[in-house]
Formats: sequence, C-alpha cells, structure tokens
Amino acid sequence: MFELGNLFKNIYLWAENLFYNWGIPQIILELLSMVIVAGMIIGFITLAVLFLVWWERKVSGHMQSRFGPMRTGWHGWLQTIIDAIKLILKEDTTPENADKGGFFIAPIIVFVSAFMAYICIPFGKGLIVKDLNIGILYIMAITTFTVIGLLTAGWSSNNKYSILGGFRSAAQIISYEVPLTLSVLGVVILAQSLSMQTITNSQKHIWEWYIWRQPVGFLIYLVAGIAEINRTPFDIPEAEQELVAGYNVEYSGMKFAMFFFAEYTNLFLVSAIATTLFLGGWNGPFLPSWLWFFIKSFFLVFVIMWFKWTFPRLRVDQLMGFAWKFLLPLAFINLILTGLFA
Amino acid sequence: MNQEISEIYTEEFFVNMGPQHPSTHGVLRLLLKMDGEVVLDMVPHVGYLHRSMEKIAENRTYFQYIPYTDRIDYSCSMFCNQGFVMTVEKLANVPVPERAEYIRVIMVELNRIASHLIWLGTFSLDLGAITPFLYCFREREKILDLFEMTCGQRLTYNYMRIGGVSRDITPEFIPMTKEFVKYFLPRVDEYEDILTDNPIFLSRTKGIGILDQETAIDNGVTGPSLRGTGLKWDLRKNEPYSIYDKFDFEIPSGKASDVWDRYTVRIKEMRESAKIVLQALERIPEGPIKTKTAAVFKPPEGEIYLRIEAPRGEMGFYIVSDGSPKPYRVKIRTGSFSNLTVLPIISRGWKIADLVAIFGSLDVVLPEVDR
Amino acid sequence: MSPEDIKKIVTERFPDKLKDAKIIGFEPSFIVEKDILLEFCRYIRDSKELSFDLLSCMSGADYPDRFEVIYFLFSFTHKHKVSFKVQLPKENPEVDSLTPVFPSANWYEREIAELFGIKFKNHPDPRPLLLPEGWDEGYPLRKDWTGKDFKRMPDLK
Repeated sequence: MFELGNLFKNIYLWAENLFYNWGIPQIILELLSMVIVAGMIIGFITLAVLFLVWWERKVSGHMQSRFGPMRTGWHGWLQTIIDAIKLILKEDTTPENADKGGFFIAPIIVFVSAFMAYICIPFGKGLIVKDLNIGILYIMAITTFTVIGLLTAGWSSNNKYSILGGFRSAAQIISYEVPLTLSVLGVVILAQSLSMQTITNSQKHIWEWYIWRQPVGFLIYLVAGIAEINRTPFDIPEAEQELVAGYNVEYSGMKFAMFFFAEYTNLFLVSAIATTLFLGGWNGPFLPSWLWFFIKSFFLVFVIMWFKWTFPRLRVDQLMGFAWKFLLPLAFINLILTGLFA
Repeated sequence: MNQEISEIYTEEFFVNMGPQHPSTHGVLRLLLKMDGEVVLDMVPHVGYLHRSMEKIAENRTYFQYIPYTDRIDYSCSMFCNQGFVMTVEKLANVPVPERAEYIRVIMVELNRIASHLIWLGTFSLDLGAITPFLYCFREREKILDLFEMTCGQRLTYNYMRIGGVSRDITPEFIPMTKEFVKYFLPRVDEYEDILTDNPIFLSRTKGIGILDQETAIDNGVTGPSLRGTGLKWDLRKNEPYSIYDKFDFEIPSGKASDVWDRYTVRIKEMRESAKIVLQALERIPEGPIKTKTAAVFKPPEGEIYLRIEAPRGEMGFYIVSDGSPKPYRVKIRTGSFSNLTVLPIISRGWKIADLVAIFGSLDVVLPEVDR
Repeated sequence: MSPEDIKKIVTERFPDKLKDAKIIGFEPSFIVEKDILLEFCRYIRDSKELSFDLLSCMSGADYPDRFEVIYFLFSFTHKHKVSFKVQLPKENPEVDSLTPVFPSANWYEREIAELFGIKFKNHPDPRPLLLPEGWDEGYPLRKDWTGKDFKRMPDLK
C-alpha cells in the first residue's frame, strides 16, 4: 500500500493522452509531456534541497552546541525559503572585465549536469523516470560536466583567486573520478548489469546488500564522492580561510544561488547512488519502498554532514596524493579481488 | 621529455593577502611573491592599527594610563595591566599586599587560558575544522563570566592599580572558579581528541614551518614559539616575578619546532595555568587588597625596564620618570612584534595553505604589533 | 655572572669609553660612545663569558639636550642581562645600525627612525613601519611635535 508504482510513466502517458485529445501535433505533444515530467523532477529536487539546507544548519548547530535557525517558523524551517527569496532579490553583479558569456553560463552548466543524473535514480519500486540499461554509466558520465562549469566560472570571473580556485577544483574532481568509477565497477561485476533497477532488484534482502560483499568499495565510493562534491575535508576550492570562496567569489544573487543549489543537489545525488548500489535501494519490509529509499539516503547525507563539521581540511597536494597514491591502488585491488572471487 | 617540462616558463606573480582577510587575525597586509602555489618571498606591511600609545602615555598620569594598557592587547589585557603596574611599583618601591598578589595571579592565569582558547579556536578554524572554535568560545564565556563578576568588564578590565587591585573578589568567586577548573580540564582532553592525533591535522602541521633555535633567538622570538624550539625558557620560572616562585608548575617545550610542536606547547600551557589557579585558590590569604598611595602619585626620578611572560611572548615596559605625575617616556615591548619578523623567514618555500597554518601557530595579534 | 663581574670585564676591554648609567631591573647599565657601538656589541655577543644573544628591546628617548637610543640585551647561556644607551646630539642624530650583529634590531630601528628622526647608517631596509605611507608631518615622538588636534592634559601639582 502507498506504493506509487511507476508514477513518472503514468503521468507521461496521461499527459500525452490529454494533449492528444486537445489535438496538438505528435512531436510537440511528446515534448510537452517530457517537460511536465522534468518539471516534476525539478520540483522534487527543489523540495529536497530546501530541506537539506535547513537540516545542515540544524545538524551543524547542534554539533557545535548551539541551536541553529530558530526564529523563522517552528525551529527555523522557513529559513531556506527566506534565504532563497533574499538571494533572488539581490543585485546580480557581473565584474567589469569578466567574460560575460562564460560568467553567465557557468552556474547553468553546473546545475544542469547534476539535475540530469536524476533521470536514472530509482526512488521506489518502478518509480524511475527512465530505466536506461546503461544507467550507472550514464550517471558517471553526466556528472563529469561539473568540471567544465567550475573551470568556466573560475576563468570568466577575471580574478586571481577565482582562477586558482577553478584550477584546484578541476584537478580535484578529475583525480577523484577514477577511484569513484572503479569502486562502482565492483558492484557492477557482482550485479552483472549497469541498469539501476536491476542492481536494486538483486538486493532484495538485507543479507544480499552489496555493502557486505564490497565494504572497501563502499568506503572508497563515499570518500571519493565527498571529494567530488567539494565538501570538507576536501573543500579546497571553497576554502574560505585561504582564498575567500575560490571560484565563486565574484558571483552574487541568483547565480550564486544556482551554485549553492547545485552543491546540495550533488550531495543528495551521491547519497542516492550509494544507497542504490550498496545499501539495497528501496528494498525493505513493511514501509513503502520510496520511504525506505529516503531513510537510507538521508542517513548517508547525515554521515557526510558529520564529516564536514568534524575534520580539518587537507592541503591541495595532500589531497592529490591521497587520490592517486592511496585510493587508486586500493580501488584496483578491490576490483581485481572482486573479479577473481565473484 | 624531462627537459621540456623543466623549461616550461612559469611566471612569478604577486598576491596581496590584503588588510581584510579572514585568516590574518587583524589588519595585516602580506605581500606575497608566489610561483604557482609556493610562496617565494613575503613582505608584511603593518601599521594599520597604530594608536600612538607611547605618545599618549606622556600626556596622562600613571593612574590615568592604566585603561590604555588594556588595549595594547585586548585578548590578554590583565597581563598588560600587570606589566605596567608592576613596573611602576618597582620604580616607586610600593609594596603590594599578599592577597592582592594572589588575586593578580589568579586573574592573570585565567586570562592566559582565555587567550589560548581564542588562539586554539581561530587556529583550527584556519585549518578547516570549524567546530572547535565554538567549543573554545563556550569555555571562554565561563571565564568571562568570572571576570565580569569581579570587575564588571568582559574584555578590557582596568582591574589592577598601583599597589594592588581595585576590587576584592566576591565570596562566590572561589567556588565558581574551582568548579570551572574542574569542568575545564576534561575539555582540554576533548580538544586534543579532535585534533592532536587526527591524521589530517598531522599532515597539515607536522614538519611544517620549522623554526630553529638560532633563528628564533637571533630574531628576538619569545614565548610559546620559542619554547616550541626546545628551549625551556619561561620568565615565570627562570626569573620569577610577583609570587610565581611559590607555585608548582612545569614548562612544556617542543622538540621538532614545527607547527605541531607550537600547538602542543600551548595546549599543555593551558593545563599548567589551570593547575596554578587551583593552587592559588587554596592558599589565598585574607588581608588588604591595595596599599594606599599618594593622591597625586609621583614616583622618583629614574629609568626601569621590567618584563613579564604574556601568552604571546615577553611583554616589557621601559618607563623613564622625571619626578612628575606623568611619565616622561613609556616604551612597550610586545611579543608579537618580534614574532612577526620571523614569519617571512620560516614561510619561504611553503605553499599558501601552509602559510595560513604557520601564521596561526605564531599567534600574532596585530594590536600588539602596532600599539 | 653578577652585574659587577660583567661591568669589570667590559670596562677592562673598553677603558674610557663607557660611563655608568642606572636602569633598574637590567643591571649593569652603561652609556656607550657611539663610535665603538658596533665593536662593543660584537664583543659582548661573541665573548665566551658574556655571550649576549637576545636583543630584548630597543627604545628611543627624547631629552631636552640630546637623543638617546637604549638597548637591552639578555644571554640565554649565562642568564644575565645588560643594558646600555647611546647619546646623540640634537641636530642630525645618526648612529650605526645593529642589524649586522643582531638581526632582531631591524624592525626596532625602523620604528625609532620614523618616530624620532634618528638615522641608522647601513640599515638594510629603511622604510617606515608604523606610520602611513606618505607621512610628512614630522616625527611624532619628539617632545616638540604637536599634531593638528593636540591638546595637553592639565598638569597636576
């Protein structure tokens, strides 16, 4: 009960039907229905990000023996909405010597690349927008576009600090892509498929979860994932104390809001993929499947937030050394052993 | 192939870590000459906070100048008070009653703990660990409550007077302080848990910014930065002033004189200060808190130079008196002034992220440098 | 070593060039002639029995008939102190810089130079330290300097 079935497919078909009855030509009708489903995803992501921003401030506050937002609504739950309104109302400045095209398009690239990966995430039994049979490969490929966005942002701001920040973040993301993908390959070998629904379907019971068979893979994925989304201890690109916000130092208003939005979208994405690959996705007794998915994802989000507020940050060359000299050999060994004993 | 790579032309460029920056602990301008991420050379520009304290001293009486001494370094203003007042008392041979000395030592050691807590919070904030900052300030609030109970002020106390202290401690002060020390000592263990053995913290601080003893002495470095190089020199033990010879405490020192050593020295100093406070609370006698001085206080003619051990180094006062109620010349020697000169020397060749860690470990506070 | 022993050794080495001064807290104290200043500092730094290695403080002072520069030194090996001053004439005060002997004198001399107008010969970096760039309103710590809004506080009897 309470199962939503394949909500996206049903809504798509209902919209197609509706437009067909209104006599709209075939191509435009398909496009419009896709837009409606995309709108649903964006709506969902917005809600999730609103919740996550509030939750991060509460979690960090309680860990630092203070309360966090308390005045805007009950325990500050309206805080994010008010912050978003403030950012929208802010003046959208562009530096005089900035590269106008690049400056405008960089936040869009960053946000779109995060959003497009949500097409393949299984939120519940059948609740997936499109179960591509190359699901996880598609996600890995799409999320790499973020690098282009960050480099464009750093370069087009025409500011020494932004360029330094952009270079650092590009180097970091590219370095950590490799162990990330290798750790995912371990699960793919065990599940014998790249499709997200198939991977989830093969973990029906708690003893079948891939985390037991791939513990090292899970840890590598978590660490590399945190590095991918630029959070402490890997948040050199945004190190406030050194370069005062790095690549997005010149951004204000809505463009800054898009970077901020993209960071939390990515955060939820990393946890969602980890849940699907290692923690059994939406499987679980009694409760509806989408509720299980959210519980597991939010638990991982909480762990990532916990890391942010506990550890100091690594220096840029130590970060690279860690990726290339430690995580990469470990991921290779993990892959070889999985291949041998699967 | 290797030859081609080494011939790649990289340009040096100048970066300004400007007067407004979250990590420079005050208004300091550092002009850095960098090659990529490596710092090649650096020129500090100071003077943004110059308030001409020495010129003002020639225009105020000794009693009127005591609130000004608070502001030499507002994070340890009890020390600045004590230094000035002690110097004038020695010049004029004014005896200080026993109870006043004990109260002074308690206040000063509590202030040392508060100052090191500020340092610890901002140091870990610079390295990216944001949470210890809030824990340190939570502890510091309790110390500031104790100060507020005694003298009414939280930051610049104006508490000491020539010949003693201005107000007696209230009856609740002693049990509250004892409770604070009992609460505080396990907290220091908590901070060490988060930071001292953390591999990320170690890789950011071990082996970084080595300051060898000779460079330190040549450049006049004193205080915990000097003790981090292995030299066990503390004015409270080696040249005891006030009543420090009656207390039992140790002087921590480091071995490898890197950032991590300077960090551990200060953490241990916090524990030692707590020990001193407990001992003083046990033994504090009854009695007057201030000797009566003349209404218009005129010390005899002469010159005097006296130094005390402040949290950032030696603080010395050189006072020239010509027998009038106002001093003829006051020179304030502060620890951060000399400690800052050593920053360009030990940060050459390190990356900019290390520069932040090194600067944090030297514990420089700009009002002391500029006065 | 006790202050009297230090005084004996130093006066033996530089007879007729030193006079006594009295600075409480940092005995022994001397008045040194400015011609032998560098030689004097090299001697007390390098000699085995004295080995003063820390220049603890340097200060300037403005008297009605002379300028003075006062030095305070300390030795970590023997744990004794010495202080001495150099007296300079009012017009054109000049003295040798101590930076070749004690590198820590660098910033102290810059401060004294800009606040008193005393010139230090052979200083490696004679830029103003504390005052803003382009300051041309005189030397603030001199007794005859009055700023734009200077107000003398009332003298007490």
